[in-house]
Formats: sequence, C-alpha cells, structure tokens
Amino acid sequence: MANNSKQVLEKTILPVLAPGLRALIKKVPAREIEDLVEIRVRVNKPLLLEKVKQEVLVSADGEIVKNVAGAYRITKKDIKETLHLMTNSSLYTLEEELKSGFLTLTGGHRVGFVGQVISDNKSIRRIKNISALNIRLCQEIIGAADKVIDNVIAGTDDIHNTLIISPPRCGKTTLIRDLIRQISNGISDLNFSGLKVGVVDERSEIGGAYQGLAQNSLGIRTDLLDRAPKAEGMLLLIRSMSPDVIVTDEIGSLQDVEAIQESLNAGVRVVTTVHDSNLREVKARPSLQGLFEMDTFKRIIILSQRFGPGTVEQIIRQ
Amino acid sequence: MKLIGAILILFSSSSIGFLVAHKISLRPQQLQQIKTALEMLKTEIDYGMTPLPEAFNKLSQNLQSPVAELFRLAKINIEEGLVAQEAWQKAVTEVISELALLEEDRNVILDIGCNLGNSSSADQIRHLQLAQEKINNLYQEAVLEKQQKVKLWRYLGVLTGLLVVIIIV
Repeated sequence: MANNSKQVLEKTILPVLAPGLRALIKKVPAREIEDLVEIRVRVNKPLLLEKVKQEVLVSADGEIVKNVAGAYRITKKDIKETLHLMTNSSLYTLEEELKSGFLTLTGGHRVGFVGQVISDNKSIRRIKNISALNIRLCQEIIGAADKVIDNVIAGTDDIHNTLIISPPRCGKTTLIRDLIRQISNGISDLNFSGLKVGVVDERSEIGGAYQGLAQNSLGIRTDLLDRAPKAEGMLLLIRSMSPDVIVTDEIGSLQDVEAIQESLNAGVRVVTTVHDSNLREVKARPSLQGLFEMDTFKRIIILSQRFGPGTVEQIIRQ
Repeated sequence: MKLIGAILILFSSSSIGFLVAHKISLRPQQLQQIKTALEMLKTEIDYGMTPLPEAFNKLSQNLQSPVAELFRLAKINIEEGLVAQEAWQKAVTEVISELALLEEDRNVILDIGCNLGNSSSADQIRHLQLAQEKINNLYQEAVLEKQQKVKLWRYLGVLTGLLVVIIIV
C-alpha cells in the first residue's frame, strides 16, 4: 500500500502541482509520506503534508523540519500555477465546480478550495482569488470490504440494508467503494451473483469521476450518478435505471431519509454511511430517527481509526 | 559583360523592393487571421466550454501557417506543463520571426496570454474582445500602410536599380 501511495502521488498529483511545489515534494524522502492523506496549500502559510496520524512540515530544500519558521511558505504564484495545471489552463470549463468549492482530478482525488466568494441572493455564485487548496488523496483499496462483505450479502442474489457509521478519515468511503464493486461484480467464492447498483455520488468521492466517468473501479453492474443531490438522485436512479441496490454517502438531512424510505418502498436495497462515532449518537439525531423506528438497517458497521483507517469496530446484526 | 552586371544589379535591387512590399502586404493578412482566430477561440470558450489545449488544437487545424503554428506550439507548451500565459508567450516568441509583424503587433499578441484560461467564461470573452479590438486597430493601420507603401517599395526597388546601372555605366 505504501508503494501504491507513492505511485499515485507521482502519477496523478505531482504533475498538476506548481513546478516549485512539485520539485519540493519530490525531494521529500518517500518513507516520510507513505501514508499521505492530504496536501494543504495555503497562501503565505507553510506547506503541510498530512499523514494519517501526524502532519509534516517541509523546508524549501525538501527536508522535514520540526519548526514552522524553517518551513517553506506557499506563494500566490504556487496556487495560481497549481490551479492552472489542475484545470488544464481552462478555469472557465469549471463554473459549477467554482460554485461548489471543489473539483475532482483524474484519479479521483478531490481538491477543495476557498477564497473570495461572489454571491447573489444568499447563494454562492463562484469563488475567485482562491487562497487555499486541500488536495485529498483518493486511496482506492481493492479488497477493503473483504472483512465485512459476508455480513452484508444475504443469500445468492440479495443483500441486507446496511449502514456504515464512521468518524471522518476512518476509511468510510474506501469501504463503501469496495462494497459497491463487490456487490456489483458478484463474488464467486461466496456464490453471490452480482446485483445492479445505482450510486449517487454527491461529492464525487466514491467514483472519483472525471467528466462523469468513474475513475475508480465500481463494478460491471454499477450506474454512477455523479454530483447529484442525494435525495433527488436516488429517486432519479429508481425511475431511470431500475437498480437492485442504491448506494450513497453521508446521509443526514430529512430529505435523504425520505428518499431512502422511498427507495425501500420501491423494493430497492440501500447501503449508506453516516458521519458519527457510535450508534447511540446516530440514533439521537432527530433527522435520522425515521430510519430506526422501522429497523430499516439489518446490518450496522462501525468503523474507527484504532488500528489505522478502516478498522472495523463492530458489526451489529438486527 | 557590362550587360550582365547591369541586369544583376537591376534584378537584386528590384527583388529587395518586392520583398519589402511583400512583407508589408502580409502583415494585414496575418493580423486578419489572428483576429479570426480570436473569434473562433471565443466561440470555443463560450459555447463549447472547450478546454484551452483542445481549442488551440482545433484552431491550429483550421488556420493557415504560420499563424496556425502559434496555436500548435501553445497547445504543446500547455501539455508540457506550462501555465497558459507562459505557454502562449513562449509560442509567440518562437513563431514571431516567421510572421510579418511589427514590434507593436508582437506586444499586443503577447498580452493576449495574460488572462488566458484563468477566469470565468464571461471574463475570458471580455478579455478576448479587448484583444480583438486592439488587433483590429493594428489591422486597419496595416491596411492603410499596405495601400500607401506596397507600390512605393516596388517602384523604389526597380528605380534604384536603374539609377545605379545608369551611374555606373
């Protein structure tokens, strides 16, 4: 996996960084960034490489430094050049992205950005003078769902409605992505034939889609609806693609819950995730209560970071 | 022997005249092409939402050399990792010697690169519009110059040749 992370970095991230930053990160010893999660780029602030458990500061020579004073500071030019490279020098093709505050790179990495917002009538029209970037490495781990898949499937051609509860950065999206792939492809070892999966990927995190096309492998029977609002997207999929399973990430609002209930009524199975650390807190959320009154989810998987991202704490069967 | 010398002098002098005249008449033609190119680029950005490298590629296929060469090089430069402004300006400096353009034309064309690709499409259109107007002014000027000077240089070449021949002989 360490090797993989370095390859990913070299192949898909470094080419779109400003030449100065690119040279800098290339000089950083590989072992220091083998579990790199995020690259933080903020104007006039030090370059931060965030790893799973700690962050790393880098000097102008690419050496690891402890002190902020010795760290390389990002210039306006660094950000400008990086944006140019990320957008193929065509920022105008990304007007939707400039509104939503993130864009997706080839390889499925998400780049969030902030800056000066131009708004009209309380809604954001676009962001200009971008001052900070957060590059989140997309870690596709084939086999991430191996530990839980036999709990999720039910017989040869059905699955249980499943809820994944996880705090941020515990591998929730990585898990759900691999679940999709396995459910969609089918698993011959478990005598499970694949199902049609519809994915509503509001923030392009699951598929890491670039121009609508998934960059991660999501299986042969998967239809990806990229960047759609969750609730509307789920209903659209049911109407148009007749899925057996609907998967979506990070539910939370009342509309999401309604759409899930609608899907269940249509006979579709649901796999979804929610940001939290335990079941009690999830159950206490007013907007999600509807789901628990009816015991919708037969399997609840709780993740943590105890033994690194993707640690399965508990699987609750109901 | 004298005759051959006289013919040579006349020929070379006239050629110089014709060459200068040719360059003068090429300038409005090339400015016109750049103007058209900007119009096409505007369409690609506005309606097509085409990314710059692809738009440059289309332009280089639809235009005539050496203006086409400008866009072809700019596309290659972007793909090699330069930001749009540098990619454009590098292409301009590489091609400019092949173009029949003046210093002032060169500066306007270099300026086109400054905002290329780094803002919303409405903004891009405004910048390109402005550049188009500047190019248009230069074009008008070049047309006028052509009308005034092309014949002048041709006559000048031939007549200077004749003069030298008469004096020497």
